[in-house]
Amino acid sequence: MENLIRLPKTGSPETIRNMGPLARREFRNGLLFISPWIIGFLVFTLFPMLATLVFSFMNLRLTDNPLDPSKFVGLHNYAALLKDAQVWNIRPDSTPGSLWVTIRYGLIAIPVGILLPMGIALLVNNPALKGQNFFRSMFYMPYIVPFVASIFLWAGVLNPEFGWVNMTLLALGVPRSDLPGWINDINWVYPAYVLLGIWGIGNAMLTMLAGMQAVPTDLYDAAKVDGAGSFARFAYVTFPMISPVVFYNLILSVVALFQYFLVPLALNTGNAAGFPGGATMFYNLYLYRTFFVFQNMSYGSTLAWALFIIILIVTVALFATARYWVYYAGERQ
Amino acid sequence: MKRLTIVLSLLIGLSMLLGACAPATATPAPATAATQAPAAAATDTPAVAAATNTPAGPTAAPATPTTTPFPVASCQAGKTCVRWYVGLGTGTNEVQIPVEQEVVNDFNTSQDKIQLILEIVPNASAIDTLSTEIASGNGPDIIGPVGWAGSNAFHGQWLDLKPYISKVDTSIYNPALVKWYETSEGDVGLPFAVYPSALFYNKAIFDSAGYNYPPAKYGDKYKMPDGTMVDWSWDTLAKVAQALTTDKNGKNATEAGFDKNNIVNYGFTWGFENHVNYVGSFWQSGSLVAADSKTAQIPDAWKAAWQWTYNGVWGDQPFIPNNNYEQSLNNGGNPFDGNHVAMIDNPVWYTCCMTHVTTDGSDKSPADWDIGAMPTYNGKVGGRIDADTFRIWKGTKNPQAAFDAMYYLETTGVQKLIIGSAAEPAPYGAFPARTADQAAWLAAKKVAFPAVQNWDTLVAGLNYPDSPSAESYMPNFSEAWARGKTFYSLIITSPIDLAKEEQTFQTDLQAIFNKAQ
Repeated sequence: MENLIRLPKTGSPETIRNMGPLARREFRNGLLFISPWIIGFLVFTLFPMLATLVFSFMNLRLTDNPLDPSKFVGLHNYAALLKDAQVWNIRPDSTPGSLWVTIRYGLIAIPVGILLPMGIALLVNNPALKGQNFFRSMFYMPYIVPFVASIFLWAGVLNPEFGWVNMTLLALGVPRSDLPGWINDINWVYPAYVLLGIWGIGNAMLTMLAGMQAVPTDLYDAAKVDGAGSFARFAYVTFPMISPVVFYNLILSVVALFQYFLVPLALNTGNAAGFPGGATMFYNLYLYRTFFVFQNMSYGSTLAWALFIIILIVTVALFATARYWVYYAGERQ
Repeated sequence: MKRLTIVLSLLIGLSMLLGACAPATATPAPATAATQAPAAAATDTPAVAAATNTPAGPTAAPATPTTTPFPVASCQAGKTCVRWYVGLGTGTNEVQIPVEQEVVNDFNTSQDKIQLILEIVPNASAIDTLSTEIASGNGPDIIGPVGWAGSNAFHGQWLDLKPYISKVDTSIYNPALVKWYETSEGDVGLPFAVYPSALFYNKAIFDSAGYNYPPAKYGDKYKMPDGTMVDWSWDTLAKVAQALTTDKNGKNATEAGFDKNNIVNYGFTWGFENHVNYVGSFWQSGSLVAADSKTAQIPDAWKAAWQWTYNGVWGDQPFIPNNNYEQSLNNGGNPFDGNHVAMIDNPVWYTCCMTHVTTDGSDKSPADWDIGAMPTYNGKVGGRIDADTFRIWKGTKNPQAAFDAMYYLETTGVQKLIIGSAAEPAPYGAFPARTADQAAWLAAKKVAFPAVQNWDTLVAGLNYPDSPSAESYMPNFSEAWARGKTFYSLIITSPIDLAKEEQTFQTDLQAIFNKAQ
């Protein structure tokens, strides 16, 4: 009986040939059941990916025939990308390139996106806190609000003229001339975006909280016996034990950073792309506009593959650092 | 057990079906609230399309773009079918479509050889749809109304109409406007709807400051309060605008103790002329691409115009509202209509949006604005005209039939599309390019705004077209245009090193142009 229903470990033709009739039928039925997913993956994921790879070697616009062999230009798009000032230019005192816009924002957003949920998780995990569940729910709740809705809500809150934040600052005696322009101000737009991003930290807080609750209490007891204070207990017990969760959130944050898109599209594209003054022309927005607004399918594809490579390199680099600061309790040293 | 399995399977199947029919919900954000770009995210309205998507005039109904697919008539046997594609510019809101269909019906009953078919596509997806139709070899015959910027997104796709235009009477148009459409692609259109720019001013703000109104005639000098007569130049306008810019204490920008952080009224704004090309063209017509069609350049006059604007926003005696003020709620995002700006430079379609510039700020009271002549730079008027027209796709199989239908729209069709009547207001809210039709349009405007005197000044603005158009072709047009809009937003958003940013802008433009090689 076991031989009849056992499925092959590999899908090699030889293995399939050696199957019994029932196993073969079940294998066929299995394929049939997952075929919608396979077809969907092939048609909507793999094929478009391969198509964009081919497009990146062509000079193709939406009005062109993609089967026209004269449109092949070899590595021209990649060469153009390497010289594209709108991507690479750092310009610390002028309109920056889109990659630098992304990195500049990330330098603020990622630390906040990791440290703040960690801090909140520590607070709501504190046994001295009354109504822990209430606070945990409250901090998580914004995460379940549809994100586009919260973007527009925050646009109102941060409105320089009538938003709650500036009205409060005004009431506190801040002169009108010193009020931040938030999303309309080139110097305040990143802090505004970070504030808006804090709205969505519920998920990161929850995973860190789960990590903290999984730390064995006897480790804390041992640390206390050794005379460790609260900071030492955090630094030498809590953080190492939750470091895999921190690492997980860091990887997600970095990938999300390079794909940052919805906020600048919804908030700052209607007026002028990258408004104000190109400060919000994030790499992914530049990619999107190149592809869909300017209809330069080839260069858009090149930007997309470059993004894939950049994310891959950064992710691999982060994994390479993991051995120095991420502690896996179950891992043999 | 078996029955339970069946019931559960049915329930799961039903829930999947319902789930599939349910509206999509937003994807929750990851840790840093960043989200991934959806592969088929809705396209934002491109700047080029927005620039030509003219608001409906006071005689037209509110501009509610259609979102439902428009049924396209089928081609009747024995007739030459011509498709009219509407969507790149105005023409897609729900009160415009019935009139457009009426004009189509009129044309189809006026002869029996050609069947004109209306194809309405929502503005937000019009560029993508047209691109796809052209790529598949199934492009429409007539496209429009479309402005310069909207049509430049399809540079190289337009039919040279010279052989067809030569057979019709073009003397019915202002010759300057006919010549305007003679481009490097050939004669790409005939004038249909034009929107000359003019200086609209708030009479109450001038009166309260004791300043004379801007001259109503081109070439006239301006009388300062001390009686001296000076050229009506942009420098003069700046001086007047500074005197009309007042803070909360009632001091104007030229007075000692003026509080520039608490300005109540401003002297001037560019309003919807929110692009560096527009601002530059008011100083002198020009282009950001050199004659070789490859090299990025910035005309000196344009740099002067941008510096003038920058000084007006960020100088010691400011008179132009910065971006924050322009967008603030207490002015409805439109400071001139909120009675807080003395002068605004805008195309004529802006009359749609000046209903609160009245004696008491209510849209029920008489208008308290009028029209002045455009100022000069180095002694010359650098006017600007927005224009919509129809184009014919170069891949059309029936060019003569398409031209005949297009010519009908631009002549007979104008009556319903632009002029309208008391019973059926015109849906386009535009100024007719055909000279003979202009009187009727002006008469309608005089009824709508009885207190406005200087309509002739508006008509005179047609003599100062920007040639080349501020929206004239540049390589990789849509991206280059968007970069210019971003640069303008920078000028009015933050104090900057303007010379350095101009250099950055030119470098970026060159990179954008290079991508088109």
